[in-house]
Amino acid sequence: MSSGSIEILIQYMNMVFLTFSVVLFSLFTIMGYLSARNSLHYRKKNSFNDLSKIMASPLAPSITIIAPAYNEGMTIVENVRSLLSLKYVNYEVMVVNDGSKDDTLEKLIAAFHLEKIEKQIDPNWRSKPIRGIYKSTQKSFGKLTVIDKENGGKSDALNTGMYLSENRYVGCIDVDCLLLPDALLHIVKSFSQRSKKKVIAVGGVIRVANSCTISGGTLEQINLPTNWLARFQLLEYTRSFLLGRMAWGRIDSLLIISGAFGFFDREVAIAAGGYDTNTVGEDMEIVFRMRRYMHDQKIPYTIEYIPDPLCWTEVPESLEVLVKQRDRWSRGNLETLKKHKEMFFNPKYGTLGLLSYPYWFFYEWLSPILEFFGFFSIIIFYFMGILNWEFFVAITAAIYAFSIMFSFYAILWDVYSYNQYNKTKDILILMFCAIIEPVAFHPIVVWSAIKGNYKKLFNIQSGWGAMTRKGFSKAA
Amino acid sequence: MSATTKKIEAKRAELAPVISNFLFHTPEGPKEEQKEYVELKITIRDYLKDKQFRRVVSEVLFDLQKDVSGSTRERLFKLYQELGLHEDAYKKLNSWQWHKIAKGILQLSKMNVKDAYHIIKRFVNDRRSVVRKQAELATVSLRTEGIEYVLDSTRFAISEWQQLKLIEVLGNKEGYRPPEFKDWLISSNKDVVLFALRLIKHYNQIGAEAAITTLVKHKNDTIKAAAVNCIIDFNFHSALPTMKRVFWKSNNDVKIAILNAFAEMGTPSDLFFLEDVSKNEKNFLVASKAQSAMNRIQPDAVLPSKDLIDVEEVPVVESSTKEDTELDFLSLLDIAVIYEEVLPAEQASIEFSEVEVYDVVTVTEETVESYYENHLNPEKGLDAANAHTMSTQEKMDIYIHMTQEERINLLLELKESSKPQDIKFLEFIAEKEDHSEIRYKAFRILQGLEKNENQHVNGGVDTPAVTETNETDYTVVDYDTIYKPEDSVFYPLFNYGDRTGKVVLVKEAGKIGTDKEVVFLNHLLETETDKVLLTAVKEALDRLQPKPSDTGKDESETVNLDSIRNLEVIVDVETLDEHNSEEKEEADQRLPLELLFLNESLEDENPNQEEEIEQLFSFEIAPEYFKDDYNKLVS
Repeated sequence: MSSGSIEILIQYMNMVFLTFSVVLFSLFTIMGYLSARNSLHYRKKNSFNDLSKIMASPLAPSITIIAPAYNEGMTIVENVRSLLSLKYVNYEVMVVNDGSKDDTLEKLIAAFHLEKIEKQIDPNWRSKPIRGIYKSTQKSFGKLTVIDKENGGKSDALNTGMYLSENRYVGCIDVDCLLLPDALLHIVKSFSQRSKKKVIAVGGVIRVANSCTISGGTLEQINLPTNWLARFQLLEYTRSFLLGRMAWGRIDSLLIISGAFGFFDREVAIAAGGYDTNTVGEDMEIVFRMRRYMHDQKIPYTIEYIPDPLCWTEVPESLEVLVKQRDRWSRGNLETLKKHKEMFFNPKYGTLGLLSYPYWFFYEWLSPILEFFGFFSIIIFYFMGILNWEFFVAITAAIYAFSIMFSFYAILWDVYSYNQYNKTKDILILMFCAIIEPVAFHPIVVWSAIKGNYKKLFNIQSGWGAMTRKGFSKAA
Repeated sequence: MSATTKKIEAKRAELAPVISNFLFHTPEGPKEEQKEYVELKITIRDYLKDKQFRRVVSEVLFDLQKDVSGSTRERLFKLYQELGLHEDAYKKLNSWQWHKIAKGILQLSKMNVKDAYHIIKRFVNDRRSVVRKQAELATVSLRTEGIEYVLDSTRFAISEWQQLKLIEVLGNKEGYRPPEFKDWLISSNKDVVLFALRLIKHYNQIGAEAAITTLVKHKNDTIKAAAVNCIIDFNFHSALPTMKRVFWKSNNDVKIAILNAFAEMGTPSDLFFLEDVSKNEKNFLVASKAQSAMNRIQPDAVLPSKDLIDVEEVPVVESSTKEDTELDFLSLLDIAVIYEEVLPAEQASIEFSEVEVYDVVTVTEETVESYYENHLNPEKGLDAANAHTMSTQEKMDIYIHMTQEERINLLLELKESSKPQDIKFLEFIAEKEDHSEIRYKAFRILQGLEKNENQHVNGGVDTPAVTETNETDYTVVDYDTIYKPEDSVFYPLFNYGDRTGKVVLVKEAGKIGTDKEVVFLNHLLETETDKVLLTAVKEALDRLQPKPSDTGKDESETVNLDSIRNLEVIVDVETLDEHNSEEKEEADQRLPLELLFLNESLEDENPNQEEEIEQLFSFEIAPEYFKDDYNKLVS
């Protein structure tokens, strides 16, 4: 290759990286603006509501919380007790025991006085066989239903719950998530407050519960995680949930609802086909599918997003578990994007096809790959002596500064709007995390994404990977 | 927290107890306290010149109104207006910012500023949703007639959440007497209709039966479902036929609601419809709901059919020693046959006074074969050709499993080739079929058959059905499986009558009764202990279904009676027809049912003046009505 050609190639790559970075800055700036507007609008709008009065209304819509459980014997009873203590009049807790090998079912039967009931089940229903449906003999646990089925994975368990539920709305949560007592009131309000559009799904913020103090299913004290990996993830979650998803929600183009806390209109979810059991990114995939279904049906619809901190969960504190989790997320992302490739720049799907899907494609899927290859290109260029130092330093400094600025903005916005960590020390620690994150944490995320994509590309079978949880700290 | 916010918070904390004291002040207190009160009032008025202070006082009062009630609450409202704070709220209504307007409306309504009603109601159709929703709530909250104004004038949709809040506001009104919400069921705004339905249900307003029943036919499935739920709550039985008609045009939620309605209010006559749903509905949940509704109406109407051990079950065929050849045939077919001890001929005589079951089974090679082929293999179906060879019960069993199209085809075939033995089957279709077109077709065929029958009788032409051998002459109908005692019109009347009235009703049932009355009378035979009544019942039954010996026919025509146990009455088509013709003549002279009650009341007044009664009704009642039967029974 002649030096002229190399020069052209380098110039070309510089242009690509520059354009990519400029678009990224622009998008994130717009996101910051949209999320702020959406948050303010949400706060003002909700200052007129008194949710507690609807809590006991006999007319309140019905809702089922589906909690799949696989080998959760250690914590299942306490988690279910927490779910049963929510403040809402018309709800059901449906625990789906997905063929656990431990004593999950036995513990549930003993703790809640369950007994098997008869119910007709569609023989053509596609989930794994249901072994039994259990209800409590005690009235105080009347809201609880336990489904025992053969192992089929989280999606299969959620589909079973969706099918067996008779309520209007279904919530799909992780059984070890902690929901705040008035979470369902917020959810139901979001579902039923629209008059022109049908609300097909409601998602919310996931907050990091590591090091928090929990007692009797209630969040007693909010603490900043002591583990550095958990701190970085807290920062990442704040950015993603408070800025990213709020912004996408503002332009009604939200394409993902967290699997740990997602609520759906049951009829629409079933009509769209429920969860896909062939992907590890089922939470994203179902939102894509439900949106496409509504578009195809030409029914006005929307997806609501609640910024209130209603759901708390533990994040991985070990590097191995974290990498496995992110690897799975990137595989799920790729699977979903591939499955719905018809949406890519398709004007038929409006902002979803023209903006939201391309963003996910370029900045959620392609970005880590570009970063990874960019890093190796720099090393190669350096040894070849063709690295444009001026451009490299300028663009790296710009990206780094922007990244820190964006994280600071997210921290301050969180302090202003929800003020979860009111110790100055905690805020300073988070700001420090924001400064070192691009070099200390971000490479792990990039590496995990490359790993996931590699597995997907070469069809290396890899399931969910086990998530080891420490359990919430108990109040003293 | 900003410095201003901190300052405001501090002021709030300082003012809250002062205002509380102010509120709880009583004019009866000591003089010093009165003086203090007046001074405090003057001080507060001075402070109110400061904008920030006004805001704090306003917020303190707003917070306090949530915690107080009764006269204190009234004083708080008065104070709010006396201090002129409502003026600030009014000013907010002129703002260009939606949240300020909404806040102004909220303050005025929560502080019960009734004069603001006319200003606020102008916002009921505001295009900004939060303003509009606050205005709706305030309008309903401030005046009793507010809800009527909102329902009359709103042009926008009312979200479900807003409906819940409006109902909650109405619920907080003391001594509230709601208007008749049925007036809004005719609104062109579908959300108003839906809301009116919810209000009707909430306030238990049962006077809107016709309108709610009509709404079951609404295009919007949400309204349809709400109407069906109202119907279930209010037990509107009259809506069941409408629900049957709209069922197939509804979504699954509405279908399930309709099936819930049938489970709550359905009668055995609805089993046919539910059976149809359970067979033809594609959605499993809906189909299983139909089955559970059937079981609610008639326990064990549907029995488990899945995952059962594969054991061939065939009807028990009772046989005599005479049917050796038939038994051989049955063994060839691998059908289980129960052999029972055959009674000697003289012991097999049947007492008609102990009549209980109206069944005849004539076991011949043809009938067994046709049953085996058609009943045990229902997929083979029913057509005009094999219809004549099967019993009515078998035909009915197969018919209820047929699709609408198959039913129409069957009737088209029967139109060309129906025979008198199809009459019962056709009557069954004409009575039970839901589809009006099929029902009408069956009715027309029946008309044709009856016309032919009359021609045969008048012209002295033999009808093949009654002159043939004993293979198909005898209609095998177990009415108890088709009807219930409750299906008879006499059933409810009977339960409310005294002994005399019951006897009269039984007598009348014997005269004008149909198959339903047979079941009803059988039921009485089993349950009643009064001898007089039992005699009347037996006579009525004899009248409706006479003994073979009464018909004057040869015993040989009554199909191996000696050999069949437990079969106590044989319905001979020919004799029944003959009897029916006698009954028909008599029918013209019958006492109308309405007069029966007049008759009864007259009897009660003048128990010994039977002659008077006789004279009174002599122009309508058959002579033997009182003279023979009734006198004999009562005495």
